Amino acid sequence: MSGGPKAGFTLGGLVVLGLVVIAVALIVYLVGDYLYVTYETGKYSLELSNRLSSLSRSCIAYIVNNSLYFPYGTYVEYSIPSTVRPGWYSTLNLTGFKGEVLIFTDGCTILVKSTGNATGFEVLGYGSG
Amino acid sequence: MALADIVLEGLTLILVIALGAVLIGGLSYLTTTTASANNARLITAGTYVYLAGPTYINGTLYVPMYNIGEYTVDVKYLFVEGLNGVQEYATNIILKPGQYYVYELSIDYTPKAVTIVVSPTRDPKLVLEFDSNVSTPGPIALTPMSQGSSGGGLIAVSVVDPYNAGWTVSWSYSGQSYSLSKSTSYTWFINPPYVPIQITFSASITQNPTGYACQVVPSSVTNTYNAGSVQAFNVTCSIAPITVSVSDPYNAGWSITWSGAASGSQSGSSSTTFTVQPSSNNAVTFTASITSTPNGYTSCSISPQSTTANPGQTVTFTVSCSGGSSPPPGGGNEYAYVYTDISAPSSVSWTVYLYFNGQLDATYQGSGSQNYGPAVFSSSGTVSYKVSGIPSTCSVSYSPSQSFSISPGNSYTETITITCQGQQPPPPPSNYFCIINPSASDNVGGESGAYVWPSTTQYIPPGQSLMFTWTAQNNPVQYNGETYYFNNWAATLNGQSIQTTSPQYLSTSYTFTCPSDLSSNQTYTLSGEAVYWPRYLKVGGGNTFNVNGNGTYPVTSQYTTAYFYWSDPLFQSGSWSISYQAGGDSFTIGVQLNDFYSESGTATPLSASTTLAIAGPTGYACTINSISPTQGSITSAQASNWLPTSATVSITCVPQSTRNQ
Repeated sequence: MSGGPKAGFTLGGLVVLGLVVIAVALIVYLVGDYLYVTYETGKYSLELSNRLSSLSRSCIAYIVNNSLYFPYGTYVEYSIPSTVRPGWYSTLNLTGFKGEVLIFTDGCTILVKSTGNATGFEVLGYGSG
Repeated sequence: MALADIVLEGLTLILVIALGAVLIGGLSYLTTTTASANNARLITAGTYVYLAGPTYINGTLYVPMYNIGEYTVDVKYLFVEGLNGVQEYATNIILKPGQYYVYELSIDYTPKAVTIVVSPTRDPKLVLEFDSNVSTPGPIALTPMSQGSSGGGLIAVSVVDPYNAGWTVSWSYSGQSYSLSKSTSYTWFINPPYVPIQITFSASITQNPTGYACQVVPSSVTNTYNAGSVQAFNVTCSIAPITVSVSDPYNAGWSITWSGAASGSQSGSSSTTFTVQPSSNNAVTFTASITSTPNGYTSCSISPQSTTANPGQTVTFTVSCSGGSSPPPGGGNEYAYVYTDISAPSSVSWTVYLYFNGQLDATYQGSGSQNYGPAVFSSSGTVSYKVSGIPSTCSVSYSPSQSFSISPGNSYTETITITCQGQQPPPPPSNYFCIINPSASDNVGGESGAYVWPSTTQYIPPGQSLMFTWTAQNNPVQYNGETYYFNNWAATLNGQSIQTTSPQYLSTSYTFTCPSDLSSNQTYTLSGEAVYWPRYLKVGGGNTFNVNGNGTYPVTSQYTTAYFYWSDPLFQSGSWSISYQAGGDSFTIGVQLNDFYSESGTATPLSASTTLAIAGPTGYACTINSISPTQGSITSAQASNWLPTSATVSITCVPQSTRNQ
């Protein structure tokens, strides 16, 4: 008889320990990656929601004194015919518009028509995203 | 025992390692697949292309795409849903985060909704869809036709350039100047601040095609323009002449003949320069020879003896004589120069003799219009001309006169004009052309103001294309006391129907391509007719549904004389419905038609209805049990005797006395 258990490391114990460490590391990585992606997707979702809300608000427009007034501001990408410079607008002066102008903002598409009477202009069509 | 322990411990160790390896392997596989899935989840959540108000105007679908996501995407396909199903278009547009792009698509049907299929470039296996409805405002009139004088309006400027010569057109108004240069036929619109407005246009050629000399007509024009005015420029080209220069300081006699794209000859005994007008853009071969040697010399030669030249080039012949003691005549003396311009139809050939003091000095032979000279004379005398070889139907006039006096130090130009009876105007210069006679008409007595651009006869060289655009100015129009609405353009080429772009719009176009293998001039008649329809939906006939007893009867003309008839321009959809009460003795048929005019708010939808009373055999009272179906769709834009024949009416008739009990 050798007289009871021996103190110290055995080869088998070392191998088992190594395996346990690798397994724990993989599980931690798995869980961590999942939590990270869940956090990131939630963040994306919130950002997109805010962005969409901002874009839809930028489509609100009124005709005031022969100007197109955007209470929340909007970014005009371009227009057909080319009469509006790209840029951020809170008020768009329509005085130079002749006939019908298609304005592409980053949130929607607005068709403005000059009516030639006292009211000046009217919004003919209005496409939102 | 000790050996058994070791073996047992070894086996246990192997078992543990095996189990551990399986566990680690499983975990690794799970990690890999989960990481891939997580990555896809992340990319999917961060990918978003916003369709900022797709709009369909004037035959063009605008699809604004705004990448508001975190990743670059590839917009692979665009699906457009119309009334007749879904059309697929391959787009392949790369949009970076924050990038905005308006995709334009010319379609001839009304779209309802669009869907784009995108793949993030970081994970092309992922496919996401984004969709949006399409707004359809009224069509933009590209050329406003009925603008009041207080408002501005577009003015069309058109350059017809079948030769693809380089041109530039500049214009100015209100102190501002603009210009446009191209080398093809082109039409554009300018948008002045007000109309009517005075605009000055000037046009010029910047580059001639090889072998051609071109000009723009008109080269300058100032006019007052209104909205819808059209300013047209035509580029006309003629084959550039070949300049022939003869250097003959010895006054030896020489003769030059030419053939190929032009044929003719000229002889003389002095230095001269003349031009040869080729009939096509091909080479002309010149052959030169000496006809006489001046006194004091034994021989003369001319070089080159033969050469070729293309239109626009210059050929120089030099005469040299040898064997004489006297030096070649030098300059310093004053000479009289006589130029001869001959104008004749291109098909007429002629020979012109130039005499000096009664002696033949030069012979000009050729066809069409040619310019010769100068013939150089060193002394005073009388120059006279004689023309021969022309057809008997032609006459000759001389300007200033057939014979005139000359003196050294002066220059003279004689213009000989040969006029022939029955001579057609010369065709434009080239071998063969497609000759297009465009026209525009309508079926409402000209009320539509239909026109075609270009409107005049066009000569299109083989292999080249030209776009013709028809426009109807007025819609609706009054004709024969009725209101007519535009329905479509019907275009024909030599009587055969042709398909134009978007024929259901007031403006439509067709690109004619001249075949490249012409062996003769081909004349085409290109006609466009604006087809207007009256717009009505009416009910005619009686108001009874005649049955002969119990039964189920289809709603056909066999049982009623009522009928619907309609004409619905730009028809889109229609529906019918039948309303009744079970046990009642009448039913009502209603028809509603939707078209472009009602959809765009230009006119109210067409609708009509009629109520038919059930008329049974004498002495019977008939009532309706049921009618099926009670609604349906209508697909035709015109009908003359229509009933909802698919509907059947189930009727019960009872003797009148029974019913009264």
